[in-house]
Amino acid sequence: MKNNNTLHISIFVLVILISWEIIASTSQTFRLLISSPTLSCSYFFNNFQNLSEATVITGIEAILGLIFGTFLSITIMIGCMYFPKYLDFLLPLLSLSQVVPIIVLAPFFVILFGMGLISKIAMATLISFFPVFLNFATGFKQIDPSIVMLTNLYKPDMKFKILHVFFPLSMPSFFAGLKISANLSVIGAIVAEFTGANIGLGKNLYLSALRLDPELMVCSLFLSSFIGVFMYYVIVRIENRFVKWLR
Amino acid sequence: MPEINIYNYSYKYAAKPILNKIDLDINVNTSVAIVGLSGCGKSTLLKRISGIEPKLGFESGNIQIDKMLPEQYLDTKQTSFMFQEPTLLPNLNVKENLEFPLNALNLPNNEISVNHYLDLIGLQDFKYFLPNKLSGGMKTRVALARSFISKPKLLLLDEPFSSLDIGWQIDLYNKLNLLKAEISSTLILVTHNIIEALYLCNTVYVLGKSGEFIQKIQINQDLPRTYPLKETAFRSKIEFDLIWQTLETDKFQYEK
Repeated sequence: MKNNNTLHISIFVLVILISWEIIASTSQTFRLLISSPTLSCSYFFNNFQNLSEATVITGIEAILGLIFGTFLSITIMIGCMYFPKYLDFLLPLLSLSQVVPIIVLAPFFVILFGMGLISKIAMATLISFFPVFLNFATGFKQIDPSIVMLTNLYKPDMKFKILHVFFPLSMPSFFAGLKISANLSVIGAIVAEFTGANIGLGKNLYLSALRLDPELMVCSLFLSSFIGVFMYYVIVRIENRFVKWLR
Repeated sequence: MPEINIYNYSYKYAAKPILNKIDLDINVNTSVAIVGLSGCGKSTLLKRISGIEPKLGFESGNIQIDKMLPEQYLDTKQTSFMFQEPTLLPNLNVKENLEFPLNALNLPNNEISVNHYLDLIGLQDFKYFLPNKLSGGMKTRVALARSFISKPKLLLLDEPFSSLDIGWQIDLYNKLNLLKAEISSTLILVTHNIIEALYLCNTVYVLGKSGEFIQKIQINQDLPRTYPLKETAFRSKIEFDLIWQTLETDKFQYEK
C-alpha cells in the first residue's frame, strides 16, 4: 500500500514537471514568467557556488533563529512553571501581540543590528518564538489536573516536577508548535533579507524580481523550501525520540 | 497510622453548603467507608482530608490528622491517594509508573520491591507496556500498587473501582487485601457500591444529600475478609438493608 502511494506521488510530480516544461516552451512570455525545469536546472549547476553559499547562510539564520526562539520560550516557560500566576498574565498579552504582523519589524531590526547575520537571526528568533511558546503553554495548561495532584501528593521539588511531569507531558504540543515555527523561521530570515542583505536567498529572490531573472527565482524558491523541509524532517526525527509514547 | 478527628466541619463552595457540621473520628489502623448518593460531597470530604487540592470554598470547624492540619500532614509525605481514574503517567511504562512515587519521594529505588509489587498485581509480563496498551482493569491494578509502593500511613481511595466490571472488582479487592496486609495504615474508601464498602471496611458511614452523616454502621468481622465477595450480601444482610433503606429515603427526601 505504502509503495503504491509513493509511486502515485512520483507520477503526479513527474506529470507536473513535464507539463511545466511544455507550457514554458510554448512561448517566450511563459518562459520569462515561470522559467522551465531544464533551464532552472542548468542555472543551478552553473551557479552552484553562489546558490549553495546563499542557501547555507539563510539556513544558518533560520536554524539559529529557531534554536534561539525555542530556547527563549523554554526559558520563559520554566519561569512560568515556577510561578504559574505569571503565565496567566503573559498569555493574554502574548496572544494580543500576535495581532501585529511581526514581519513589519524586519526593517527595524536591520536598522538596529545592521546588514549582517544578526538582524536576520533576530527576526527569525522573534517570529519562531510565538508558536513554540503558545503551544508549549497550552500543552502545560492541558496536563491532567489529577496527574498534577498525584505528583503534589509526594511533595517533590520543582526540578523533579519539571523534568518528570511538566516537560514530558507538554512535549506533544511543544513539538506541534516547533513544526509551525520551522517554516516560519525560514520566512522570517528571508523577509529580513529582503530589507537588506549582502548574501542570502532572500536577497536572490529580491534581485530576481528586479532583474527579471526567473531561473534565479525558481532556484531560490526550491532551495528555501528545501531548508524548511530539512528542518521539519530533523524536528520530526527528534519528536519521534521524545514522544514515542504517543504512538 | 494516623488518627483522624473531624469536629463540626462545614464546607461551602460558591455559597452552596456541601458539608454540614460533620463529626468523624477514625481510629488508628482501621478501614472506613463513606457511602452516599452522587453529588453528596463525599469526594469533597476526602479531598479536604487529603489536603492535595487548594482550598476554593469557605470552611469552618477543623480536620486533624495526628493533631496536624491536612496540609501539614501532607508534608510528612505519608499520604496516598487513589483517584477515580487510574491517572497513570502516559509517557511511562508500568514499571516506571510504579517507580514514580519512589523517585518523587527520593526514596531508594529498590528493584526487588518493585518486582515484588509487579508480582503481587500479576503484571510481571507487562512491565514494559505503556498505559495505553493496557486494559482498564490492568491500569487500575497498576494505580493500586502505585499507591501502596511508598508504604503510606494514610490511604485515601476515591471510588477507584467504580468503572470496572464485577470480575475485575473481585480481583482488585483481593489485590487490595494482599497489599493492605503488608503495611499498617488507615484507609478511607469513598464509594457508592454498598457491597464493596461492607466487604472492605470496619465501619461504614452514610453521607446524606444534606451534607451530614445520617448513619454509622459497625461491621463486626475481622479484616481482611477471606470469604468470597458474593457472601457479603448474606453475612451482612441487615447492614446492607439498613444502608439501602437510608440511601433510598435520602434520595426520596431530596427529590421532594
